[in-house]
Amino acid sequence: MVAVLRLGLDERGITEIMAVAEHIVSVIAAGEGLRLRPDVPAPPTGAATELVDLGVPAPDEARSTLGEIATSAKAALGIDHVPSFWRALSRRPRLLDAIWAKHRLVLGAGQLDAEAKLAVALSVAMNKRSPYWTSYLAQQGRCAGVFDDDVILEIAGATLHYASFNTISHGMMLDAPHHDLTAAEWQPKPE
Amino acid sequence: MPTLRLVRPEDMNADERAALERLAKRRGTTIDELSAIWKAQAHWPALVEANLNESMQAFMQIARLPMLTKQAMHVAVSMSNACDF
Repeated sequence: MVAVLRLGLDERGITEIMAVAEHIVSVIAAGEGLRLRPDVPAPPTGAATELVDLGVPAPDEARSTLGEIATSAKAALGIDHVPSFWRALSRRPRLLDAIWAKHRLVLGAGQLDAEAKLAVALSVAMNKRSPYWTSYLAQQGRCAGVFDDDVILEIAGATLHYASFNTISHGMMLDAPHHDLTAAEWQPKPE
Repeated sequence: MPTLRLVRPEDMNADERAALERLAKRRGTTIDELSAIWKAQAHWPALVEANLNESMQAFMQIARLPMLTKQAMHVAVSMSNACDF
């Protein structure tokens, strides 16, 4: 964490990283828990695995948000359907509204730009081994012109290294080197 | 409290010292200033070398992603793994 403080982020920036991590972990929990097959960029083929029926029409209260998601999916994912994650949540319209609003907030530009946040999100999805969200986020990055095969491999390589070193620190029960960090302690002082 | 004692400079054998000296030199630092995550591997010097190469190729080498993005990825993945190091 000290490294990102040295590179110019402050407590707000760290909180943005934390938000991407916790949001992606949470949507992975729901998406994989519902056993959703990846449907971005293309709808799945083969036998259904989903725990809920995605063919049930959404309640009227969900239609406005689903319309917004459909528009966003066309622009951000290059697809003509609403991804199954959002269709599944639409059975509970207030939950759909809350998670969609949070999704846009967390992945939108802040102190960390949207392109960096997409890379962070994909790295977390790879680390958590989510077929659904790795497909979704990789496609979003490709549509944004941020990812190509080379960048996706760079993210995979970096994720490999983070998983390796996290395991070493867990396995060896290493004590955290810093506590109660403040950004001011680590950012370069003006000359 | 670490699972194993971290190798201290005064207790290192020749192989352990050589591996950590190579690592410190490439990082522009000293053995004393190396992170505990490296000292924890020093009981097996070949692993230090392997992980240094991994680190250089997978993380430290400048490629397409800015270093801030890579460090942010590292923080996020570590958070998602509940790693407080």
